[in-house]
Amino acid sequence: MSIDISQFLQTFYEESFEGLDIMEKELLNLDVGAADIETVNTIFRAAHSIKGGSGTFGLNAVASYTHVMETLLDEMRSGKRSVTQDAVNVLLRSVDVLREMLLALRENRDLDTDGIADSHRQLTDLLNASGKATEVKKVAAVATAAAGWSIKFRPHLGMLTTGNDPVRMLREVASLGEAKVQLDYSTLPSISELDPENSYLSWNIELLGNIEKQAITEIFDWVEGDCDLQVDAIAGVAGNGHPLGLNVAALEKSFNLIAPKAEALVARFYEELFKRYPQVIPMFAKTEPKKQQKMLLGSLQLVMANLNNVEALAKSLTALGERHEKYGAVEAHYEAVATTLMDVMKEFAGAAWTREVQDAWAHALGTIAQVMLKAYGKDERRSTPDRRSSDERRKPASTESASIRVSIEKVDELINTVGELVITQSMLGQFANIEELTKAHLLKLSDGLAQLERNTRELQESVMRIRMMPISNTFQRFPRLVHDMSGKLGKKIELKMSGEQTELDKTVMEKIGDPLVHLVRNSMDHGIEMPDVRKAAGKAETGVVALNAYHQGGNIVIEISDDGAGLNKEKILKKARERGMVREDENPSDEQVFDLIFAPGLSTAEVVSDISGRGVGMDVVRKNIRALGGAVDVKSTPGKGTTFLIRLPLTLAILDGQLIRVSKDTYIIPLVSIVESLQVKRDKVNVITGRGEVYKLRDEYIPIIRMYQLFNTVPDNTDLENGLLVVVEADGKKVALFIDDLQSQQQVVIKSLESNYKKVDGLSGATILGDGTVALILDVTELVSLFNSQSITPNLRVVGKDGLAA
Amino acid sequence: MSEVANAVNTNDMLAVGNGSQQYLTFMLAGEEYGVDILRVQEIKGWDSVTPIPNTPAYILGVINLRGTIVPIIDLRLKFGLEKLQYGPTTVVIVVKVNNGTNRSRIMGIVVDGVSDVYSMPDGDIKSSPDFGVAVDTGYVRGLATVNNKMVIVLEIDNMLNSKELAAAEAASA
Repeated sequence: MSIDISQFLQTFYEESFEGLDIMEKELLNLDVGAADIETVNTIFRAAHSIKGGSGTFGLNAVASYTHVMETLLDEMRSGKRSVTQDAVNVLLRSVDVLREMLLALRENRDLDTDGIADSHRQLTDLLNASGKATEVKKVAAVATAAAGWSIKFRPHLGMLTTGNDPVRMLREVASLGEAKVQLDYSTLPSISELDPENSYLSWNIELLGNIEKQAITEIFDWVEGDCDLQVDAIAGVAGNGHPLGLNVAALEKSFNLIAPKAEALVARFYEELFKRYPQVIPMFAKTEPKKQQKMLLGSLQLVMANLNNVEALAKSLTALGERHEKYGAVEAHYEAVATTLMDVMKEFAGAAWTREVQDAWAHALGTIAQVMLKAYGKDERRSTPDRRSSDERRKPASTESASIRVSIEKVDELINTVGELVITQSMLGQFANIEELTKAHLLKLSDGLAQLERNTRELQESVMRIRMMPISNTFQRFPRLVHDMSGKLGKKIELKMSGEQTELDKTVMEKIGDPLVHLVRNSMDHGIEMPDVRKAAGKAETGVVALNAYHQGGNIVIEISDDGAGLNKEKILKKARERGMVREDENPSDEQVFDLIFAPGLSTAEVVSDISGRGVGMDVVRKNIRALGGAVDVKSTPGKGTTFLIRLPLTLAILDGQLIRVSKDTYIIPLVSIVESLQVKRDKVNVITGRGEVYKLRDEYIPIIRMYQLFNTVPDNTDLENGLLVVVEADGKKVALFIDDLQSQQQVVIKSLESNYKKVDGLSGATILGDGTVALILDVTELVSLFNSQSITPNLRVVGKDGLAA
Repeated sequence: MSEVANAVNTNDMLAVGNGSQQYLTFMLAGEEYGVDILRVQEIKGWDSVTPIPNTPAYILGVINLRGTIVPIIDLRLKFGLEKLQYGPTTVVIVVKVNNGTNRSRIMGIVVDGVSDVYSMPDGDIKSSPDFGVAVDTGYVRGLATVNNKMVIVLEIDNMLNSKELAAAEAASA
């Protein structure tokens, strides 16, 4: 009956992340004070599915954490609790914590237990505090909460057929507290009568800990009619009301009995311990036996003295645990110590060692061990990867999401296209049987080939479209960012988004996220002014950051604009001069100055905040965008605001290319960067200071790059009039490439040069042409930089390292 | 570097089992060179390449090896030997190069001709004598004698890693 559920784990993670996104979005939509019940419901449902799923997969940390969130949300949903800003903030934080937990689990990383515990505490505090309507119920609940529960769980024969798995429920029970599970298989028939689809087993569970009865019954909610369930408080343990469920009376009584002989007892204990577990001897090598015995005695007495003072007890045990961690004690050692100690005590106590005393000690030592093990911080965590390493090897790390959701429409389209392709194929297949081709046949054949070409193109487009996703996936993280940051900065900021449905390639989208975040942060931090400054400038107190996306040609354009103060030209220029990026006598244009903000090491922020202003960042933003084959521009008006324009290719895999020839070699220029191609008229060429050539195109002077010079090859001719000029645009600046010949235009599949060789300046990759040869794809932006660095024409060389303005 | 080499040795030893390894040898200007046979992916005839602009002369360019772009290096030029006209016997040995960071690259090396496959115990490979700065022996794992002939065993990882390529480029610029 057991199914390998791990295959669904990946789906669970993906769905959980989606759920978290929804929770985040809805939490931000939540109107404090007058919450829309449907919104709360949506959040609750998302939390509920994550809890359910994590329980199923045995991710108990997640399940128990989500449980608290769920309870909180449930109270909001049923109107028992009002929605406060405080609660929303705590919930938002818990969304982050939960996301982090899930990420850590998926990547087999270690959980940040401190952070989780911290947030868990915040949630419980919130749950316990300001409960209003729930206050009374809470008190009552606490009263009924026992120190332990005895659960009798007998599934009916047919429970498994309803799809319920007792293992999952038992796991959930175990997540509530310390559970002792006893299997009752008395009703199990002989193998010949056994129907594998029936459930014959039942369980008796002793659950220790301060747990509400409701929490237990909730677990079995789904199988209510399919099982017999009995939940009783455990009288013996529950009666004493000790917070840790310790049977203090029995412990004290027995310890008082053996206390006079305590020294002999600890000596005997070590003797027995070393006899039973010789492997622990090296751990005690550094201490003298007498001293060690004294320490144990001290610890025991300390524990006994503080039995009722739980806080002090926990504190000293934590300290003790930390020390034991350093000695190298692991969980198994605690068990060894506990059993040995109990046996020795039994030996000393004699007849007074009753069953009740034995249980009391077993439970007390177990609790002590747990508290001490909890104190195991880093070392415990460090040791876990070793245990896991084999799992990790089995499961390759899947950091980036490995699957995508595709609308059924796109898949149908794909199926249609494939259908047409099959028809074309069978049509062309007919010609295989014809012995002699007539002219009519040839006509039909060429028709068929044309159709095949169309089918292939459609198929390619459909497949590419599958990878396309709306940019809203990236945009949706910004409301939260703006919400959090405007609070931190003390600014009033409104976020406006448009064009969220614009689609782009998934890979591009994953990589553009961080640069976008950086730009939006910058806009908020440096762009938008403080409310009083804005008021003084006659602007609305609330600043606006706008995100917009749209298609333009083969590109997607993303605009990030703010209505803040705009870039301060003088300040940038001053900084740049200080750093020697611009010479004193140079007077660059506004555009060139604004472009400097992308240069490494230039930050005009007066205060380096934790948000931005360290002078790294904008250069990285530009680098990342360029790596994607895109470009970023900035426009700014003082007092009115700043706009960043990011242009990105729709996809990274295929591009429309223009084949050109330089010398004997074919190169490809991306069609998007070509403005026009023209034949040279002698009188339009001017030479600046005898070296730098420019071409007068209408009313612009465009620098000419002779490709054969750049590439050190021998061209057909060096006379400009006999070749062609291709005017290309890179980062908003035009240059003319002098080439030998223009060839055809075609779509090319981009192949990496780096995978087996390395990055080559001026090339963005390679492709394979129809005849199987390799052609190199030119990177126009880099060509310009290359030209500038090789150029012998200082007058045309441009400010800044990447030399963009020409 | 030696770490990489050691790791490689262990692997290969496991593969061969008896402490010796097989080497593919090839001829280059009358000398016989050997490379670890487990690094050889295939041997193919010389075909035209697409040159990459602004690269050192010994990087002849790239070819299409069943859909992958593979750089081709002329070992004669790399070793500063006289360039030979490529003919029908000119072969390209396609090898896998580890560059120390778990990544491997596929590269083709052009040689005069393939010679033989020898099995050599590790102990038979003597470290090469030190020529000081005159000859860079970083590429040489050692020298071995087979049938009274000397075989120069190459350390292919040192020879064709990206650092090496970058350095060569810097020097040529």
